[in-house]
Amino acid sequence: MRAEARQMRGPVDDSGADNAAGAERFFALQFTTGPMQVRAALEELMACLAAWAMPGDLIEAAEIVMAEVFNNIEEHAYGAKNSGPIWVSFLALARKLVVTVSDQGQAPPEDLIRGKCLADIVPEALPEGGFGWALIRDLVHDLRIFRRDGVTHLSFTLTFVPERIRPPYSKGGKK
Amino acid sequence: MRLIHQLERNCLVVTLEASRIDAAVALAFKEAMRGLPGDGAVVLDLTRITFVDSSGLGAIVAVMKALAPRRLHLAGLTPTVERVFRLTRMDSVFPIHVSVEAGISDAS
Repeated sequence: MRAEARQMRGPVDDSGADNAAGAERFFALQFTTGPMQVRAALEELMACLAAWAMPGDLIEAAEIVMAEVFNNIEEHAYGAKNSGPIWVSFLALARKLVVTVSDQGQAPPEDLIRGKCLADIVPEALPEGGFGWALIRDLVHDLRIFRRDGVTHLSFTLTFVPERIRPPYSKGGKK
Repeated sequence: MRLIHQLERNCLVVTLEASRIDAAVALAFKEAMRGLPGDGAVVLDLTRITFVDSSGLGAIVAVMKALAPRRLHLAGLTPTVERVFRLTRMDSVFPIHVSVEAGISDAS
């Protein structure tokens, strides 16, 4: 595979210039947390997906998910009083977008991946929070987390098919 | 955050001078929505809001509670905003209208 050969030869070109149909599309970005910086990063990331002519559904989902991931890093990993770097990468494959996000903040809670999902939300209770990770968990696939040497790496994919709302995890359903 | 509000029939139509209700402005939005004049229904014009994140959604819910017994109507949701409300099923607790005009007709 050409893509593998390219990876083995060295870093993938992230200039965004190689956007010919069928070409591997890779984009990376680093920024420092802060509300306006999150907005600017989202704008840049969404412009990248638009330039790659990704389906509108996927771009919408990506904006929702990336905003929640960044907000969580900002509010919980670094905390309200601190800021720090976030690294993001997008790799577009034939049927999906592979995303990685890394930060140097505090370790996320144990139940990050298998926590509440959208079906657990009780709208009638008029919740004012708890939407963020539920949205992420339901909109992405292949959610993984890896922490090493004080860095949290999050990886997930967004696919080109509409999401399905998952049923709630049964109690004690953690693996 | 600056708001523009005007009374139409019995409802107060509120338009935000913003394009996003996100973590950066959620608090400012809640503050700005305090002490709206009148006592009729409120129609929040979301026609120009392209994005609402979970903080923004939480803020809209908080505003709805703070306004009670006045009813908060939402009008003109753009696609991504509509999707956030639908995914979280919070569209079931707000009267949602395709346009401000439809919101006014229903609320007044």
